[in-house]
Amino acid sequence: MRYSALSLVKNALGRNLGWAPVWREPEPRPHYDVVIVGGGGHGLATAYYLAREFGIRNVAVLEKGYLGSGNVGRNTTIVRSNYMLPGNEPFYEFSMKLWEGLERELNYNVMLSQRGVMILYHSDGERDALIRRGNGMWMEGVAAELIDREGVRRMMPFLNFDHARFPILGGLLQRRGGTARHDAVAWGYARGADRLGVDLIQNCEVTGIRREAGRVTGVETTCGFIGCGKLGLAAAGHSSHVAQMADLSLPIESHVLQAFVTEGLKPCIDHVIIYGAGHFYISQSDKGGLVFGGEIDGFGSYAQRGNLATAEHVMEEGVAMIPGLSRVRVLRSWGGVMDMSMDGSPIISPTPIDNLYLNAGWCYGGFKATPASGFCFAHLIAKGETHPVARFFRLDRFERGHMIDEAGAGPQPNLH
Amino acid sequence: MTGDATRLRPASDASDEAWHAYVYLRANPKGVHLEHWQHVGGCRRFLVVERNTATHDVLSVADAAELARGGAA
Ligand SMILES: Cc1cc2nc3c(=O)[nH]c(=O)nc-3n(C[C@H](O)[C@H](O)[C@H](O)COP(=O)(O)OP(=O)(O)OC[C@H]3O[C@@H](n4cnc5c(N)ncnc54)[C@H](O)[C@@H]3O)c2cc1C
Repeated sequence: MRYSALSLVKNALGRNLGWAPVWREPEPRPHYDVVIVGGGGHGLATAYYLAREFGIRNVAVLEKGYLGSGNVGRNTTIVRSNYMLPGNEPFYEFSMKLWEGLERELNYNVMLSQRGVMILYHSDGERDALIRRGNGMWMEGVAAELIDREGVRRMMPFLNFDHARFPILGGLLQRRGGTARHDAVAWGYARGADRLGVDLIQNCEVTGIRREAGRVTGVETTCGFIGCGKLGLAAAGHSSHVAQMADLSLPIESHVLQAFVTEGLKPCIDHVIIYGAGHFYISQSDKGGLVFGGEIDGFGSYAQRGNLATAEHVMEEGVAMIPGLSRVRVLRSWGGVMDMSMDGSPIISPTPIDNLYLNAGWCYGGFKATPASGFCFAHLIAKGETHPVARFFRLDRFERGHMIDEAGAGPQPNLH
Repeated sequence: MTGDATRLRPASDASDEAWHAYVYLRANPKGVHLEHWQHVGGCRRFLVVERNTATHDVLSVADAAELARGGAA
């Protein structure tokens, strides 16, 4: 069913009994042209674009839990294209442009809200670093604005401008940045892919990758063997785990990142605000809850839950930035497993195995990348060539010395 | 946490592949793993910790320097 104002009115008059399930729940077929492992945002978007842009419709997405049970439903929903390096920025801007047309494309409300993303600075050095970043964006044709202290005060009067150690001196603003409803992104792509004939198979965990003569022939799963012509891995935090099934060792460590949400408040925070002192980011959801997070816990984890020490650290940062936060009650916290790469940038790449393709290493920034990641991964799988904006995201860049290290932190995944 | 303790530093004249594997590739198992940790809140020693990455259970801890010198694990 196409959604429209008319369908809304019709169903409201029909006491909402007319809504049909949004996707089928098919039994897996014995063989597909392309199998995608992982029913998160990236896997679903890949399947959608394979069918929609590249005409490959005999596709299955295999998900071990339910669709969107991974990071796509756990993130803090920030969407932005304010990266500095030429290897990254064109890709994230391509993604931003896809976001801007996504609701129309999917006929689904992903609640994209371009409310502006502000990164604060607290010293001359930090200001210079943000100017450099803003210039990097401008060089790729993306608008960035340096806002002075008084300008920030007008937009966000509740900030702690006179903090003794980290006074707020200004910020770098990307007005087109913002948030989107994370679950809706997964559901929208799932519905779109299903309507184009893609089989979405839930509760189906991939446990092995079968190979013959150096090529993948299919996957062993908890619902039996499923053959495929090409295999794409989009398992996010479990990328190393799945790649090991094909004897590939990846430049990735899995870490846990936590997020938090408060009780619902009246509208008070209009933007996405990123604290430059440490790492803290906050926005207000449409339900009114303040959604925020900080750094990864810092140790390897596949557990989808973090420790209180990090929770305390994140709250401290939050209260340092917005003293009024100390009066707000936190409702929930949760964790997701991050595929932290060795340079902090992602991998959309062929692998040493001919018909095996890898989409991984998104660290904690992969939600904003969902549309472009799916598009570029589908392009790679369909054509066997990397998409121009993703050409720097190759797996062999580490070997060749072409890392894309935004943070300049070196090969230490828990520092990116 | 400073990382994967199963990676051993190759000889300085080892191949590019060996150095690439040492610097960039990680075992990253879901389950029991050996990692280097530093006891920053106390003695500041580097430790080799045997830990389950799926449950966060710590199974054993040894002093990294002693272990490297061939001492008891
Ligand atoms: C707390 C938190 C906050 C974040 N905040 C942001 C943010 O503000 N902005 C941003 O851009 N990014 C953010 N991220 C990062 C972003 O969520 C991820 O990078 C992105 O969602 C990863 O891609 P995905 O959606 O495909 O992953 P997932 O949704 O995790 O999809 C991977 C899927 O693979 C499945 N899978 C794994 N192994 C197997 C197997 N063997 N067989 C079958 N299926 C398998 C999993 O069950 C999972 O559903 C955040 C992440 C977290 C956890």
